[in-house]
Amino acid sequence: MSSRTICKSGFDATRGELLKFRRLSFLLSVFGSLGVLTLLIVGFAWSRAEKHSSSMNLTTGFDMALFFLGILTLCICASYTAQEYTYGTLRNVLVRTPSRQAFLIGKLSALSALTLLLTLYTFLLSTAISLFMSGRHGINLTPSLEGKALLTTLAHCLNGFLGTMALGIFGIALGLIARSPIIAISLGLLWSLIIESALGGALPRIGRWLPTANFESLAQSGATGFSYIHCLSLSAFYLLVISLPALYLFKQRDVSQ
Amino acid sequence: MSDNTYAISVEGLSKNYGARRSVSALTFNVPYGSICGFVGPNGSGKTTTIRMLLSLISTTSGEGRVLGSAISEPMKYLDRVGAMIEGPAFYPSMSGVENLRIFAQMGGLRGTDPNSLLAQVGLAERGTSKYKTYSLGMKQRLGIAAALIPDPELLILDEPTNGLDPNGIHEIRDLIMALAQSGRTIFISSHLLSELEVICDYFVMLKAGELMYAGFKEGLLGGNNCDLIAKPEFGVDLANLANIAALRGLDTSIRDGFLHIERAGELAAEFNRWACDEEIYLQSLTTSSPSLETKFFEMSANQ
Repeated sequence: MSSRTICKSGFDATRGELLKFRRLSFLLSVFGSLGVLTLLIVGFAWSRAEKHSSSMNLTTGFDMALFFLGILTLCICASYTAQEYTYGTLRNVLVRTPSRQAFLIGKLSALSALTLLLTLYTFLLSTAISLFMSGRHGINLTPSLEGKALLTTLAHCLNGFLGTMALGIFGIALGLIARSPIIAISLGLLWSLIIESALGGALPRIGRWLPTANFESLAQSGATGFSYIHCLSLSAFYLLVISLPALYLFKQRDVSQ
Repeated sequence: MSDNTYAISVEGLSKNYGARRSVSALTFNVPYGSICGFVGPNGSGKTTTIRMLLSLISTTSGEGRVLGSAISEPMKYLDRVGAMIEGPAFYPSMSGVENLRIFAQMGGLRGTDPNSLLAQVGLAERGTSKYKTYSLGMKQRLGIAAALIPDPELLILDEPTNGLDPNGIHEIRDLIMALAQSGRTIFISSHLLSELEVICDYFVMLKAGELMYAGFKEGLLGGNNCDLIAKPEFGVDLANLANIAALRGLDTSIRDGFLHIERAGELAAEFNRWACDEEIYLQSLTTSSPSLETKFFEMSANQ
């Protein structure tokens, strides 16, 4: 199959996938819950900040909200991928879009678009809350929205998207491997929230090297002792490690069962 | 294997799952325009064969062609094939229209009108209802509507009447017969042999992954070679009538006051004449074909 055909099929599959998100109930529940969480997290962070504190900046709230955005994205990606197996819709799709590559391109593109939208929404909401709350604390955040600082802020938003999408790809891979939304989400949460925390607690030296922590560092444009490039390449390595078995299984398995 | 005569053509098609052989060297053809019944007990390899034809699984050996193209190149024919495999499968929280729109979009068929497809299968009034609220019959109908999205030359339906009540079965049967009138080839697998006998004009029969029969209905169910059942005007003549047939080398049996003569359907007029010559007059003379079910069990037992 030519690369042009794959691109066309992938584009068709992406449009088909995007149609699944065009449901009011889905959009309300996802954006609603994310909005409430962002409001609570950013509001809480600012309410605890001291007057004229230098530790608070425009993206502090966004960085805190990113953790929940990442978890939400992981759950959505794992669920939307695995449910194709549980509903049996994958076989319906593949007898119309013969290429499994095109199907995955469509799934990844549509989920990336959704993640980008969610990241922008979180960024705008957290920025708006921060600007509103900063005035009460006598902190001036407007310089962050001017000139070079604005570019840095936007780059921070982009990294937030990359780190969140890394968790999304982790979710897609888990969905392909587990073939059940509940199992895929459970595995994702178990690893991200419990196993990594336990490992990080027991062995603090390796804590930041673990996948989810590393995705988080990437989202925050790097961490103490870890450069941005280091986070980016380590994230790419982890995604490759989880994606290869997932892709192999997706290609080999009988999708009609 | 000819490309132009057959919608489906397979030769030596086999599928192994580890050491277990699911389908064993199948060779059969399905002519264009036929309604082909794909018959076999559970585990006989029907769905595995369909999966191979649709390129959902790989073959272990052998080759096959669908609409003239090799099954190793599914891109060349899948856009002309509609399929419902292992029952209907849709997104439960979306409506029938939304589901069809998604599947049409995924296949690059943006011009598809979901409402006309729903009207074709008699679901127009429930198109905006969520899939999870549909009855089983409605779900099967939506499955067939989805299979019709590419306006297929070949329609492959795996157990389309599974789990339906008699009314539902009747509705699906009418729908399939209506679809066949548009010249499509329909390849339909089912356990309901009596239904297939009514709908189909061609049969492929499997048992334990091996081919038992592939050919036209007449060849399977006898055609003119069916049994002859005769009843004389007077019961006392029954034995004499049996003698008349036996003298001509025909196998006979007497059951419930009727004389059954095996595979003598084409001798009906002649037999009537032989009886008249012996001054035995017949009250009734009919032919009887074995049902598909009878034939299936008979062939299964012989294998």
